[in-house]
Amino acid sequence: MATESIKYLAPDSDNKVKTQVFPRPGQHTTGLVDWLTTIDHKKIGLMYGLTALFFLIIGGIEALLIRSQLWDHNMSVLTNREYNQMFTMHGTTMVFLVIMPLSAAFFNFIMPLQIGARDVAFPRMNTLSLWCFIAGGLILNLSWFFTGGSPAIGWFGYAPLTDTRFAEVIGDMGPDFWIFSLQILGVASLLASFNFITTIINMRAPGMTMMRLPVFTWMTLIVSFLIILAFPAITIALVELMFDRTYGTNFFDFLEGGKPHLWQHLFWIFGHPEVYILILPAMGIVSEVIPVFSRKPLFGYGLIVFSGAIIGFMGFAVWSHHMFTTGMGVVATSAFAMLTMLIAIPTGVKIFNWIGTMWGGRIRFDTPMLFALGFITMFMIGGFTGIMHSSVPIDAQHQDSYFVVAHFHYVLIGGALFGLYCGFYFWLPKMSGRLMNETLGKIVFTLMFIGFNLTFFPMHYLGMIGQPRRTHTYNEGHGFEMWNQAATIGAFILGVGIVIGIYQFVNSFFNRKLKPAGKNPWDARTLEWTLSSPVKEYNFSRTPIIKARDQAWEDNYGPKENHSEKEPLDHHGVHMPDRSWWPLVTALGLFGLTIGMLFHRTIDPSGELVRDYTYPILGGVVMITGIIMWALEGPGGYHLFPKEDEE
Amino acid sequence: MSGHSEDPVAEESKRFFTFFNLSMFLVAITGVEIVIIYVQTFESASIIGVLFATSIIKFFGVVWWFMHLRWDKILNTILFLMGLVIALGTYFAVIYMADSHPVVEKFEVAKIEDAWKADHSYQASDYVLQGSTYFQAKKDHLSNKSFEPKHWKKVDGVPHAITFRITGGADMIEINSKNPENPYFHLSHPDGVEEIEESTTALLATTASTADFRIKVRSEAFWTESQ
Amino acid sequence: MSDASAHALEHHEPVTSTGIPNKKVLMWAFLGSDCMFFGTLISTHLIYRKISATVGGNFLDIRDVFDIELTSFSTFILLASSLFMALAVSAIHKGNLNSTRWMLFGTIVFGSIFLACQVYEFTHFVHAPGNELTLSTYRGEPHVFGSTFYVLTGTHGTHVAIGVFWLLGWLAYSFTGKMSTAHALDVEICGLYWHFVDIVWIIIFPVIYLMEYAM
Repeated sequence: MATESIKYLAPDSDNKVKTQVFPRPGQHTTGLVDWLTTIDHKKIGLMYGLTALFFLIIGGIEALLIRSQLWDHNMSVLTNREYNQMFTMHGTTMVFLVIMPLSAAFFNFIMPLQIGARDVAFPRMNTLSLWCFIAGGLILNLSWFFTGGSPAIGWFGYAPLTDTRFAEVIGDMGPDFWIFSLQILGVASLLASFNFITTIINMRAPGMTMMRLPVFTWMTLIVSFLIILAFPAITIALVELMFDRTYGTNFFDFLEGGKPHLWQHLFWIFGHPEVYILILPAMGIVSEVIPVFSRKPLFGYGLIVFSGAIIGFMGFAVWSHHMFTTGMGVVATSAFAMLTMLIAIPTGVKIFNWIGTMWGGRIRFDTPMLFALGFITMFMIGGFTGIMHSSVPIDAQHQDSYFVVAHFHYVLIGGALFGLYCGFYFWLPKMSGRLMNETLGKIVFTLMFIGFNLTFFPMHYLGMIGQPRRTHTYNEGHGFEMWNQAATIGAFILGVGIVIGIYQFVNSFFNRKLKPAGKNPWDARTLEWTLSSPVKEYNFSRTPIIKARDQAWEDNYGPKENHSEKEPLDHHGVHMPDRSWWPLVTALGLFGLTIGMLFHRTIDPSGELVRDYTYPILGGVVMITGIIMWALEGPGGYHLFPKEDEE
Repeated sequence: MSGHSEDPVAEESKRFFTFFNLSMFLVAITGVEIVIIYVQTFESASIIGVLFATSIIKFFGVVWWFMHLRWDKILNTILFLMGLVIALGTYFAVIYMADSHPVVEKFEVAKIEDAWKADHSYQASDYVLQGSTYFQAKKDHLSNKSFEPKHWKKVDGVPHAITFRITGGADMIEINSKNPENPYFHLSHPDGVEEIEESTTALLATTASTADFRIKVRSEAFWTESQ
Repeated sequence: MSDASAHALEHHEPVTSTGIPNKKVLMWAFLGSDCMFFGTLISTHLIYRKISATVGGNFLDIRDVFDIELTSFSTFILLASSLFMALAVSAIHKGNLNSTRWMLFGTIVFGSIFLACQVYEFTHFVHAPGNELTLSTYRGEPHVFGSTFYVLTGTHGTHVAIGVFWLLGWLAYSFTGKMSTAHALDVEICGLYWHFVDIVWIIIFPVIYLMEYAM
């Protein structure tokens, strides 16, 4: 079954609808049109990455504003409302516009290469995901320019603060922008995840059984399942909130029969799997890097995969640990406390396996390895503080204090961001074809490591002596000043490190003075390292036939029977899917629909509320047209004829 | 394609009858559901049970046959079940956790200051204040013109009346004294009734008032305190 | 297990690692995800039935509002449409284009009748004299039943409407002369979606409507 070869056969050309308005871009398209209409998973991955790095800078500026405000007692860098807007935007940006898209960038670029595929299962849907992501990021940041400014409700938007009744500014549209942008981002993530699931299940090269998949690909699969099962909860919660704000329903209005507590449940049913969505990709990256830089196979591959799956599944059973202080009753609270403690076990298993991989290996401390080691140590610290909160009485002390801020930044920066930077330093040579400057990379690591710890380690202490979260300033006399100043200095150092890193990543695509990477600069283990750098448009000239896990390593060092083979050269040529305008058009329609919904209400001269659906309908029509044309267009395709040994 | 074998035409023709029969079966079950709620003679718990069962049967029928899972590869079923199982588990937990909030409508602790009265019908264990001492009646009796010690037992301590009213349904009520010099503890497990109104008397070491006491009320998924 | 080269019918579909076509894997994963979607809505409704039956003294006995005859009728209609859908898929697998058209048409008709019943039901509830149920009120006073009921059944209705549009697309395509057994998979995918919408209603009807009569 898994040994079927993958062949795209040329579809009937007379089934295609040819339009004059948007003629389908051909195989020789270049320039802007190429980037707007591409369906190539590699280009899409690059666009995800670049956009996410841009939002990293934006979210970072928001963070530095927060840290500046907290330098000393009673500062006026930000007013209290502006402060609330900053932490809301910082959180929302970092979670949805940075970490998730950076993970998506790597899933897109690397995963098909790791399974021996030429692209994902639904290339045009992949493009749609990308443009929906960009639309969502745009809508969230458009909020700065309209009534009320950006949302000031926290990244978790608790009811009833989100009720129009409690708006600080009359007609505050911030939460509405927040709602709609999260919905579009949800669509982007869902579509991408359906794509990845289908690709990993269905488009593996012959011989690539599930247990030969690289751990990064496994994590892609698990994260995709988490996304498709967790996002519906927040989608509905947001729909209910949108109805409350726009149509006066009473879902979360406590005076009229609703229960704000329900928002917390629905949000965290999404929110807890979301944090595993944020961390598992980084764990996947680290699971690739550690074996390469220890020159040893991954210790306990099966256990690592299984633990990842268990973490994913159990992630759905612990959401109320975010609600320990809301009075849920003894039964619920203790059940969730116990389940939360249990989920530490598979996580610990992974850490022991990474250590086991390094044990007895010949370790090279290149930049990717530094970040991987940073991940393990920093994530462990974050994990320890997390276990502390799983105890309910202790959590009652930690809740809403800086201790929690310390915890999640240790797992999200020390964990996810370090893991993603590890991925950049590891895989960018494959993407750009050039090696980045190793010394500069080590400087970036040092700055980030020192800056990060200086910023967030003191927050454990600050939380314990009583500094509350989400509070725009503090008075004199609490003793908060010194460590807040240390944290602010650390934040700027961290910022410098991050920015130099971003510069390095972008620069490696343009700087001709950098050394060429060659196929396998790290002497790495998985299938993508058998290809040229940068990877050719068609990925594999001939689909490989897989004989073992870590196929690249086995090809170089393993016994003959483990060496991969290649499918015979197809004289029809390699079939490539065609580019298309329709995903972009569909995304534009969705964007228009959303903007239309945001602004469909006006007050007429007599004071009555008027609802005008013209623009939403227009946007909807464009979107539906895009979808219909997409369906009629068919996958299309053209053929390439790579030379026999050209990879 | 969909994993079908050599002769799709014959296979599909066979399935026509399966689909038609299943359809009729589903219609019949739906008919039963509607009839069962019209005929009010059944107990509500069994009606709900039957509705639950018929829903599951219809659900399974459509998914297994109309949606072809029976004839397709098992992966399709697994993909669907993942979503279904997690949805059922999560929402069963959430609905369980949604519970009414018990409210303490009234909570009072007051010293009993009934002075002994003549010609008054007393019941056993009534408390009276005679002079500056408290007595408890030994049995039911009608009091005479003057206080007769034989009907009364002197008690050490000050009797108090504790009354409370809880609405919203509680399954545990705990009352304790906040003053260590004046200990008191009461724990009861009412039957989950919607409204609980109770009064009880307690013998305390010294005089106390409502502010010295705490009542804690718990339902399955909430608890609340008064003072 | 099909052999890709032997079946002329299947030359459009790439051969996959599991033998299941990509679109089918996609649709089943989507339906699994949709279970969480409707689970959230249904449980929101049930939770509020449990804890907010009365809001500020505004007691709602929905039996005064519901019209079980109408809803039962529309339930049978939707079940019938499911039969037509299954027969349409069956017909296209056999290559019988005429039968496919009629079965698709039947599904569309019954689906549309269902939608019409829903629209009628909603307007009927909103304007029921003395028992007006709106998105935020019952009998003019605030209540939460309308919020959960209309959003839940409205979301289901939207799913039905999307399905009807999809089916109309297929019906239109069947007249272009380009439809053949090569499209059987795509029609089957549409069928999976339609049946799912039906089974959501199979849950909604007893749990939201009938259970009120059992209390």
